[in-house]
Amino acid sequence: MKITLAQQRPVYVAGVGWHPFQRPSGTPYVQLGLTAVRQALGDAGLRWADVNSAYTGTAMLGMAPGRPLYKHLGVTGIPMLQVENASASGSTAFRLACHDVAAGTSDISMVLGVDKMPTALGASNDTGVPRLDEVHVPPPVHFALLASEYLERHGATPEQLAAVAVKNYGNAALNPNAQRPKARTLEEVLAGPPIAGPLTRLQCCPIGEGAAAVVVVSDDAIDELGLDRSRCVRVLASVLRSEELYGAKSFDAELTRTATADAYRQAGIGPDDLDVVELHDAFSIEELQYVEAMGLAEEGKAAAALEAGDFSLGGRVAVSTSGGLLGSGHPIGPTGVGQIGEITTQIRGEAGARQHAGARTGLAHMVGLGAVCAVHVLQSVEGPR
Amino acid sequence: MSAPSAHPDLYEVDESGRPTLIGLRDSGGSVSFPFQTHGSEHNGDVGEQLSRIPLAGTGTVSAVVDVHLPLDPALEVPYRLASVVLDEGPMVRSVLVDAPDVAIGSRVRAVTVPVVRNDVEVAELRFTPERVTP
Repeated sequence: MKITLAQQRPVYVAGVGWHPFQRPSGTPYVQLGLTAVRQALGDAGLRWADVNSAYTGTAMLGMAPGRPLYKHLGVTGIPMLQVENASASGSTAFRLACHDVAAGTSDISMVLGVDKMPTALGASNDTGVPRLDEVHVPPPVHFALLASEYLERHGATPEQLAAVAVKNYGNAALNPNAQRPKARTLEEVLAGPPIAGPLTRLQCCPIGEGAAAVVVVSDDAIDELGLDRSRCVRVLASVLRSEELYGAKSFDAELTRTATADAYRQAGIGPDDLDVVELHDAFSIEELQYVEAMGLAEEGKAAAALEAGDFSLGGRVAVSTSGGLLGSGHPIGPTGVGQIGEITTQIRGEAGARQHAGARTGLAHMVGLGAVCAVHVLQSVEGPR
Repeated sequence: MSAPSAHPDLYEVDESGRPTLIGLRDSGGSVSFPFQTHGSEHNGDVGEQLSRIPLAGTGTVSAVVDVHLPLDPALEVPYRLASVVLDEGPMVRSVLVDAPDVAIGSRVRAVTVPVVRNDVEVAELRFTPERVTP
């Protein structure tokens, strides 16, 4: 039986705020939004630190406008997400916040609608705060710098870094939905062309197009509609967090550490319980950093563990059986849904040639511009291994 | 006399071409870069609680790479780029000049180079090895 808002605990509007609506101007969207949020907080008698989640309705700002705005209130790491639903974007953000509070996952949720005509740069690069590295540090260069630091600190080699891509292309070759379904040798990955630092082209994911979908159901739906319960996979944990301040450390890795720890607690499991993991390997260095942040390898030991086969099909925990973002591709919107689909397929035991034997518990991980991090834990209805 | 700063909101440039990065200090003493008026990421301070402060422009390299992507018509590829942890704490990314031997751990300092942007010569920020005066 589905539950309406009215059947959950009551929710209320406690504060309101605006930036005046106006003709197009040079005012950054960050300033528009902050004005309204500060006014709403003041109106409610609340501090930003009291807020548990933030939903931002926006149709024209483009990808990732949320955290670059809210961070100026002092970062707290709360879940943040943007809601795009055309003219109903703000209304839909309000609906999600109402359900969030009604369900008890938040006590106080901020809803902000903010928009202005799109610019060529996109919201996250058009905040009104100047940047020193705007031209010279696109994502491949950012991750090349992280790779440079990692290799130096842990004594790892460019060959060990490239081995991430070799493993994931091997998996992608077994995945009929992958954008790069071709196994690659270490020599092919290292042959270039070079992009930045130790990263070659095949260590950077392709951005293309595609789609992925999953259906989420309740126990009641399974019973009432007579669904095959043995093919259902339980979602044990859902965590969404936003970036905090980590000094000069890799913010995506630190955010992953915090979000994954939350997900383990929520699911009542630890890293040793995982059989399969899909993670955000847009660049090869990310897999090494994230498996360490997730507790799947000791700090600085991920390259050696990968080399030993720990993260291969049939290994200790299979990482990116789909081929990951490197092999499957990264069409942005569908990527995270595809991860849930892959883990579900693995836990059902229906992954064919790329089946990781005995997969019962899986974790899906995506980071996103902003930065935000989403982690989900899925498990067989028969329980863990 | 130096060309004007390419990004006066990020760094000022004196007549000799020496840059001064403009940072932000909030009421809790936290320093960030660059200065901005939206609010402190550390504690949400805004308005008069935010101070505009000069940074020394010296720091330590925490990562360095050669970039092969032709991102900037003013730079021939490959060019060298570094993450620099400034002495006041914030980390910045910048192109290096005269730095063939720079490695992780090297000390560097901010300088400017003349670059033509939109037909106008401006002084653009770079980092270069910090040479200790004997």
